[in-house]
Amino acid sequence: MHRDKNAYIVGAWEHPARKAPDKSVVRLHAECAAGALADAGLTKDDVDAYFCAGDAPGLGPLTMIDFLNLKVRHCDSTDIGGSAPLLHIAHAAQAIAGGKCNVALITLAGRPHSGWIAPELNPTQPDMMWEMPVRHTTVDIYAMCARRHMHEYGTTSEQLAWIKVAASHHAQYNPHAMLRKVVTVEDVLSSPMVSDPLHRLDCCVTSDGGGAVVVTRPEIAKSLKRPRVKVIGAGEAVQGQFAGAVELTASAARQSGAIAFAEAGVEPSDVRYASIYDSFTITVLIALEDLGFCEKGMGGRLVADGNLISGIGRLPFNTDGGGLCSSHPARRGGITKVIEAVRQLRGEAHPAVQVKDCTLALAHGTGMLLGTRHSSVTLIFERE
Amino acid sequence: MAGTEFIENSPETKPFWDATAAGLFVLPWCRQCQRTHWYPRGVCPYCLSTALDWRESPGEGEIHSFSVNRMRKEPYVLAYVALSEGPIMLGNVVDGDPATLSIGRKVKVVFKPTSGGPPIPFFAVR
Ligand SMILES: [Zn+2]
Repeated sequence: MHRDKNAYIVGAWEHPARKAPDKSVVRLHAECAAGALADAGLTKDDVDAYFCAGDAPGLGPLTMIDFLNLKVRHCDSTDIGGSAPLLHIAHAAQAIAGGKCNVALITLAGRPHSGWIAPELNPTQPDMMWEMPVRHTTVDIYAMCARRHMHEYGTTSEQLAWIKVAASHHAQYNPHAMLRKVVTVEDVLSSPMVSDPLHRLDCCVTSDGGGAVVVTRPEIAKSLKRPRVKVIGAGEAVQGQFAGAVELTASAARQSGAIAFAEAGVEPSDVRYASIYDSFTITVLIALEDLGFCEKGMGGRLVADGNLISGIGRLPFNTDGGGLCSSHPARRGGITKVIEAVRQLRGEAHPAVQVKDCTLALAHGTGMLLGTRHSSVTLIFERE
Repeated sequence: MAGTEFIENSPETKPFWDATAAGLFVLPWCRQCQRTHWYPRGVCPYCLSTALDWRESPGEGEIHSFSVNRMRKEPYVLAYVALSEGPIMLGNVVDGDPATLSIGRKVKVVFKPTSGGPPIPFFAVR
C-alpha cells in the first residue's frame, strides 16, 4: 500500500449499552453509525461505502443500506466471524486507495444478552455433518487449544488467569464495563470450571451493544478536527483443520501479523498498545505468540505478573477491559478492539489506563473457532 | 445428529454412513496423491482429485487434546483424536472417568446409535 494513499480512521464510537432489551439490532447499528459519524464530524450524507457482517440482519448491506437510507457506491459484507470489522477496515482502506469510495462506514451490533436468534444451520455446510453430532460448545473447542498448549509448552492456568487479571485492572476504570471488579489469579482459578481447563473467568462476557468506525481518504481526514489515526498495516488469514493436520496451538495470526508488520515497516517491539481479541484467555495468549510479541510457547511468561497491565507491564492490552470484562456485543469482539486502539492513539483512553506517547497501536481479531476454523486479521495504526 | 438432510446434501459421504450402519469405520483414500484425510468430503483436500476410495480403518488413535465440559449434570468429553492413519478427528470420548484421561491416551472408534440417522463414531478408551 502506498503510504500517501493510506486511509485514516476518523470516527470511532462504542455503544455504552450492555443490556438493550428495548432496542432492535438494527436500531443498535443505527445508533453506532450516528455515534461514529458525529465523532468524526461527518454526516450520514457523507457516507459512500458501507460494511457489515453476519450480525446485521437480512442480506447484510442490502438490508442495512435500505434501513439506514444510505447512498453508497461501494459495499462489502465479508463475514469471517468476530474479526470481520477489522477485515472491513482493511478492505475499506483498499477501496479508498483504489478510488472506489471516500467515506466508509462500518457497523457491528447485536443483542445476545437480551435475545439471541441463532443463525440457522445450513445442511449444505460440509463440515457440519461431522461436527454437529459431536457434543460440544464454543468453550470446549477453545479448552482443547488451552490443554494442548499446556501439554506442548508447559503453560499454566495461573498464567492464563493473568490475562483476565490484567483486563479486570483496566475494566475498573470503564463505567460501562460489565465486570468492573478487580480479580486475582486465585479468583480466576477458583471460579467454576466451565470446560476443563478453562474456568468461568477465562471466558468473555455476553453483552448487547455494538460499535462503528468511519474510514476516509487522507484529504478528508486532514480536513476534520479529530486527531488522525492512520492505517499503516493490514493482514488477514484464514486457518482450518488442514485436512486433518489440525494445529491447536498456533493460529492464522502468524500470517496476518507478518503481513501487517511488513506492510507497516515496524516490529512488535515498536507497538505501544495492543488490542487483542479476547473471547477467552487462551485466545489472547496464542495471538500474542503468533504476532511475534514473544517466541512460540513463551506466551505464558509474557502475560504473567501483570505484564499486560497499563502502567505496570511492558505490553498494555485491552485497556477498556476487553471482551473479558467490558463487552462482547453480538458475540463478536472485533469493532471494540479497534475503538479502544483509536482511543489510545488519540489520547482519549481513561487517564488511569492511557499509555504515554501512544504513537503506534495494533488491533487484532480472531473470528469463529480457534480449534476448527478461524480467521485472523491484524491492523497497525499510527498517530499522525 | 448427522441428520439425513445433511447426508442428502452431501451425497458423496453416503458410503461412510452406509459403513457405519454396517458397524465399519472407513477413511477416504486418494488414488491420485495416495493420502488420507479428515473430514470426508468427496474431493481430496490435498490435490482436488475426486478419485477417492474408502478404506476400512480399525479406528484406533490417541488423544491429541481434550476438554471436559462441567456445566452439565453429567460431564462430557470433547477430544481431537490423532488416528493411526494420520488425520486428527473431532469426537466425544464416551466412556470412562474424564479424570483419568490424558493427552496420548489410546482410544478406539465405537458407534453410537442415533434417532433417525445412521450410527455416529465416538471414541472409547482402549
Ligand atoms: Zn489427493
